[in-house]
Amino acid sequence: MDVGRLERPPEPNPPSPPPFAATLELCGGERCATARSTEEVAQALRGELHRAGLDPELVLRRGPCRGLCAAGPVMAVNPPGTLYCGLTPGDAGEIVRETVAGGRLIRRLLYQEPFEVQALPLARDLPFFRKQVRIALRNCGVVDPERIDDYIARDGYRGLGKVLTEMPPEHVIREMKESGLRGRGGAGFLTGLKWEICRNSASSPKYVICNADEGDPGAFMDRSILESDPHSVLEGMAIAAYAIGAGQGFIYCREEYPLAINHLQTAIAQAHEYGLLGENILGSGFSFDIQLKEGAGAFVCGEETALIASVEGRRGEPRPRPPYPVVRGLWGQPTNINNVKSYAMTPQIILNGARWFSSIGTPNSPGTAVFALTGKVNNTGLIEVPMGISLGDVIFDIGGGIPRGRPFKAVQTGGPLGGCLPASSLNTPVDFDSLSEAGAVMGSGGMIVVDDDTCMVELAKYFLTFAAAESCGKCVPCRIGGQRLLEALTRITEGRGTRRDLARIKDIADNMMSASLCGLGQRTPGPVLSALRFFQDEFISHIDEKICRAGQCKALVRAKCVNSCPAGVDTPSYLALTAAGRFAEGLEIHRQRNPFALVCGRACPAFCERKCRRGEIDEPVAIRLLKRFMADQEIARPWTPQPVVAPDQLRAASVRRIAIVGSGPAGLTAALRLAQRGYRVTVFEKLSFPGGMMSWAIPQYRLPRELLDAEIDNIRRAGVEIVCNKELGRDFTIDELLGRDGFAALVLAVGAHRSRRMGIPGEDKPGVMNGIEFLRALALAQSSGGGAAPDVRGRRVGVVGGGDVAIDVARAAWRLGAREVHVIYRRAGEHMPATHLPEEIEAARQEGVQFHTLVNPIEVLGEERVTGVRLQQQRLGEFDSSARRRPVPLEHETYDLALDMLIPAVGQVPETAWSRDDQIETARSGTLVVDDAFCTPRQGVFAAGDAVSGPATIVQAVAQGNLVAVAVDHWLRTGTLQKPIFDTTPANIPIQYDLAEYAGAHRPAIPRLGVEQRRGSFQEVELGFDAETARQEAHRCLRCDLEWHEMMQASAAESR
Amino acid sequence: MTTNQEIVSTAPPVNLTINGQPVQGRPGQTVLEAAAAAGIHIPTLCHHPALPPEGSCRVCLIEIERQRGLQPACAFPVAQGMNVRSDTEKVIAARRFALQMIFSERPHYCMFCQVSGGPAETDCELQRLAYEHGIDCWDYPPDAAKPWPVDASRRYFVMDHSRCILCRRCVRACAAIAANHTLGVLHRGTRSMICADDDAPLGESSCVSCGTCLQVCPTGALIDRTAAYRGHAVTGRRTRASCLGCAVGCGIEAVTRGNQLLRIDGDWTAPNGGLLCVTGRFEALDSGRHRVTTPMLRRNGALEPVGWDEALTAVAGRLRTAAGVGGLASPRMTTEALVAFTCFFNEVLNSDEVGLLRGEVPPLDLGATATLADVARADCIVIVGGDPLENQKVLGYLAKRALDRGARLVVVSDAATGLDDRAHLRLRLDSVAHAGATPFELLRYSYHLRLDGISQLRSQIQTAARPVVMYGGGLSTAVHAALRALPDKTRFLPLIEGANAAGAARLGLAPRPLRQEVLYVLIGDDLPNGHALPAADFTIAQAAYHTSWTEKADALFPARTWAEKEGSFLNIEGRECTLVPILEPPHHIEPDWVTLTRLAAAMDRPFMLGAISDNADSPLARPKEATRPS
Repeated sequence: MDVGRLERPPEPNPPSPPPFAATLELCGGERCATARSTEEVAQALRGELHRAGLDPELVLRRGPCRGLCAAGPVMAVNPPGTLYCGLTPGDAGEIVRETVAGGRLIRRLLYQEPFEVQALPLARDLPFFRKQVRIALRNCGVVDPERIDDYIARDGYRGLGKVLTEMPPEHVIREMKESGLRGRGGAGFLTGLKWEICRNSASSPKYVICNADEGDPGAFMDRSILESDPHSVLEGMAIAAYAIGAGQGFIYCREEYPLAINHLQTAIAQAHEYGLLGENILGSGFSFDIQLKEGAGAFVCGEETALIASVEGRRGEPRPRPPYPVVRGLWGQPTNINNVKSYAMTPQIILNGARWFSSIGTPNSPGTAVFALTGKVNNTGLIEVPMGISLGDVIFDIGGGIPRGRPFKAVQTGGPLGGCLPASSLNTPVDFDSLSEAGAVMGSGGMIVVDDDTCMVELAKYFLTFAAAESCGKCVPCRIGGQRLLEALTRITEGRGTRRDLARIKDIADNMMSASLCGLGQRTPGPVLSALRFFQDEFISHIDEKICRAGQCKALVRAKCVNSCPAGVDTPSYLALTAAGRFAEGLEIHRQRNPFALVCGRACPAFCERKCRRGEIDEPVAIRLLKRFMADQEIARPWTPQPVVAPDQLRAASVRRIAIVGSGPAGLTAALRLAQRGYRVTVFEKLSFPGGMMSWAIPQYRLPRELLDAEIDNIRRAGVEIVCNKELGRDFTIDELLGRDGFAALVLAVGAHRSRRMGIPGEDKPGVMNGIEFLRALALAQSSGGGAAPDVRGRRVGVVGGGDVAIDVARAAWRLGAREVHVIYRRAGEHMPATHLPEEIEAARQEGVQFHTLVNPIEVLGEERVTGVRLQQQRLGEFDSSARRRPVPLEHETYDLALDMLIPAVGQVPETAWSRDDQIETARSGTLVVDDAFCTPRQGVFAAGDAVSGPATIVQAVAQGNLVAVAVDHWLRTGTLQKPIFDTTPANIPIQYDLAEYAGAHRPAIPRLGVEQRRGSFQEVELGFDAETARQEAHRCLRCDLEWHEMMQASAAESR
Repeated sequence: MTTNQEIVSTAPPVNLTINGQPVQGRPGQTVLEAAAAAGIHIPTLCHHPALPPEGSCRVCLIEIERQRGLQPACAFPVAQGMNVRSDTEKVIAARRFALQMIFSERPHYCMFCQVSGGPAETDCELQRLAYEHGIDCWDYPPDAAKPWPVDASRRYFVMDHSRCILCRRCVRACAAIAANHTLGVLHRGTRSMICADDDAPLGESSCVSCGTCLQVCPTGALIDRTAAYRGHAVTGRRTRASCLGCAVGCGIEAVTRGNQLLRIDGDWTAPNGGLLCVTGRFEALDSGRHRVTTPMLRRNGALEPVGWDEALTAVAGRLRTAAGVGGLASPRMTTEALVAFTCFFNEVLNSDEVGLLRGEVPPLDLGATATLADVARADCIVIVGGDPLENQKVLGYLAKRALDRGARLVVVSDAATGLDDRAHLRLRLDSVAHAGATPFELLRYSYHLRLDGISQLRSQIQTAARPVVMYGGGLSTAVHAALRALPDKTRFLPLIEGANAAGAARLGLAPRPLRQEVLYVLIGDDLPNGHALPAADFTIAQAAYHTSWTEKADALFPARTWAEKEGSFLNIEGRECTLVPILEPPHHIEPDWVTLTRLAAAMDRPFMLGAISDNADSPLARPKEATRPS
């Protein structure tokens, strides 16, 4: 049907009010975040309807929560059953005019998928709903919760009628057992079995209780059902009561749910009125009544024995089980307790049969699971999915992925007592057993997604704070253990943690789990333990390095930009100095941690900018270009690095010689830092010019060679000797360096230069040249050393891969005159590793590079030389450990791409042919094995840079250079190996401008060379800021570091 | 519904193994109980055999095959074929963890604590467990800087929260034993604190100072002010005896050290089940009173100490010449002393002018007598003209315990009683009877006026299975008649005042007005509490303490206190309670009957107590030391 036009209903006689083409149903969660704006929209709509002569009562209705809260306020338009999202009062006029009176949909209000261009008009077509199966939520948003007739019209109370007239209680229990329904409160006990035990308990009277004490932060599954479909719960309870032989039921609902309580009261009254509750229901002789009990908001009252104590009027605390409530429960009588969702599903199971229910989901966890999906996910809200769906499907398909395309980090299931699962668990099926096997729990249905801005230690601490505060205080392990656990975690997040704290955490957690009285205490350590299991590195870096990579732990994070910089460059300080025009001082601060300001001002992926808090307001500060501007101002004044240690230490060091193999960023930085500590350093470079990948893997249009040379000269001025054309294994060996040549220590910074192979037929044909080789040949040709640049003129060039090398090769080939340049990438475009430089890909597109994604080469074509490549199409399959969907070949979907040249750039490993006889170990990934102190198994031989970490960025190599220098220095001075910390005193530059004046300022566009000027030229594409732009931009920095300085001063004052 | 006891008596035993050892338990028993019966020791801390299981300290955790996690032995019921281990590495680690956690919570600096001691002598159960498990340092040091409050607002005891381990024995004792529900837990989680009422200081709370909480506290958190720092209870001498505070006759365990009374505990095995009242537990130790240490004679208007012989001679002379001698005894006297006193008057002085200082006993002919256990088990309690919470406190607490279990309460009284706010039915005395009513009239009355008090009372009793009526003295005959007409299943308990008033009544002694030339009062350690002695020309007193009574005496003989006495008395149930000497008396202070026989000898009229005790109806009808004349 054409959704652009709605059919008008037939109009037999003109009625007195004007006709209307659609009714509106606005979402109506009373306490949700959008409640206020929803009310404003409702007001505006009522006003507009009045103005149009329409009766608001007839047209507009406040409906229940639809779960799509992130897009709220949401409004259903019926017919045709579509959703308007993100409404404002300003939309009211248009809605009434166009949709209500005119019958036309307003496209801009329709729900839009984050990554899709097309708006989706029908609610059921939204991916948010498409993968869902609604059993517990089937009536939510469909029936009016305050009208029992609505419920009855949707088969309501037919299940009760069926059991009362056709099924003896034993049959009901058999049906429930066969359905395999497991308690949706989280423990997953078989509901039918529980009913049976309760029925078989000798004592009477018996009771049924509905556990509606939903206390997980951010979870609102039960609330939504109670608010939107209370009768389903009443009916389920009545069926349960009939099956076990109870005459009285209780709903224990927390008082924080006033609307749920209100709707329940209405529903109970209406059910009474209709004879569906009370004496002799439907003339069957079965009598059952339900009483509502309000809980006071203690989380532990969700535990069944605590809940019973609370219903009885005692302090809500659990007691040891057995005896279980089914044997001795409320007032010592057999009592059946189920969760809201279990009861809500019951009528459907009775009506449609056990087989229907068990056909949904998995054999061990039949049916559906209801989740409140929250956190860093695009579509937050309430969902119901068949058991067995993968976590990744829930998060990326229904949830729409992570906002702003940030990396997925973890998902916490089971609420504050659950566990967090990392990316490697995204393929885990959502069901009771699989989740607990994976290290989390099903719980009652909270699902919180976090991205890489979340510190897992802090997250664990957050959940633990909640659990510890909610401990009832009865049993020792939970009351005290939870507190001790929290203290240990707090120490870690504040940088006071020790390795002993880690041991303590494990000890306490293990004992709490086995020794606590109830599930609250047993599950309290869950988040901590799962965080430790999957993210132990984060704990260690908090403890050993005092670093919180996610930038969340305040005491450890001076500013997010500093924290996210691998080299820890003091960004706010140099930005402040740049703003003040004090470039030399700013550069001095930069060089304390990174000597390559000119280089990084051009070729750094700028991790800092992605974490810049200004970006949360408008756009991040253009830190990289400001760095470039600052460094450019000082080009004329060469830098002579100064010693950083005391004279006597310099003197002691000056007798030692250190050899560094490789003159890339890691090697040169290590050389500089060691020279600054007094050592005599020699750097060996196998090529004819120094700089490593900085000098040849980054084409000149990104990084002009003379700038790099200027910064290498700085390092020479520190006393570092650089010897070119000397290759390890060819010209010298490690033994020779340490023996014959008298070097006291050796740092291997040989990089990762050997290309990975594609492993397909024809890979070695003429015309195939790997990316590294290509770039090196190009650089040699452009250097004084000479040589021929790869000849691609007029040719069709294919580049395989999606990393930085692939993009650099593609753009360089285009500059060298290639006729066509194709980038072939096996994953989806947004998953390219080079996306950490998105402007690179964009620039490549502008320059005419064609991208082929979700294809993989399977054969290089051609008899003599390359004539093309056979590509196989891929589809996205399961998730891999990087939270990206793995490409899966589509067997018969292949096509050939005609090419003259194929350049694979599918990753590199270190060249380690020389290492065979030198006791140097390599890992399976090809990288060198080092310990915490960057030392190889061979004494005195250290390693750093890409050779250790695998291909990374310049700034990461610089960071390793800093660290390895400290480690070498420490070893030479003390003879011991120690995990190094590269420490510099942070500057504290006072703020000298009024931030408010720059509140409205925006990040300037980056000036670039026009595309037409780039063909055939290796001229720098990016142009720097002019002085005024730079000055303005530097003032946009919010100076987050000042808050940290204040905090540190305050805590220092406190400890005094 | 069947009760646990019934199951226990009829069901077959349960076979299980504990640490590989076959153990036979009874259904309804916990693993801990079965283990203890088999001689297997499982350490506990929050558990106390007299209290409902709590399962909170996790010291008694055990491993049970096919059970997830560890389970508390104190709360886990035995089951057929169960395989239990209390000695595995995991169990011991969990136990040590629990202890370490407790030590880390509050500043348990043992060296500053009055219950602390070496492994053999500590009164602290926590410290004992630490010794047993070799815990000699803090794995998790407590925050010493954090101050914990001390509540010293009660006269007899102190609550020091820094030593509290939140085992809640005190809370459970206050609720389940004393039925007072004063103590509770404030806040939750690590902020949990034991509190009185809604966080009131104990001194301003509804606490009745029964002290049961002290008796169960495993650490030094609840400190008895008298006993504190006077030595360890575990190494003190324990004597099982009876309280002479009132006619309930509670069983006690007195803790003494070096002939000093340290502390009085309730006897868990006695009918009062460990429960005592403020009088029995604390006031008995209140030693601010001035002891009569030697015989005294009034000379020149003042009492002066004299030797025994001089005093006996003087008193004997006065008695010989007296025109009339009357005797009054305190109802706190043992039956043995009362017998001797009566004999002394009948046989030595040829007088029957003997009575009690106070302590009228209501008629005992209403029906079957209730026991304390009947009160605690009752499903309907009727209180007529008395207030157990005032005068028989422990009985009042037992009644409240029954009310907690759902018993109904009818209070028939013209005065306010301590239980009024718990009463389901409150009646005035004249609504159950009126002056001059005969049983027949009452019957008619209840027929015609169904809403009248008596019919309401009867219907309450009729619907009950185990009704108990407690009634005071001084009721009109009409009321008594009405009570006598209650159904047969009713059990009665007289609210007798005066510890041995029942024993005295059985000897025919009752309060009576006396007007004689010479008055002989047997006071013992009784206190006047506002009662005045009748006037006489010459007053002879036998007393343990100087009181307003002894001030009027012309001759004074020293007497033993209850703690030094041996003998017996009849309590409200009609049960004979035994007094055992807890302390050695000062060497020259004799039992009351010895003083009397010595006096008789001084008058040259020795008398034989054996004659009375040979009478089978006599309360002395068993061999006694007292039957041997000295």
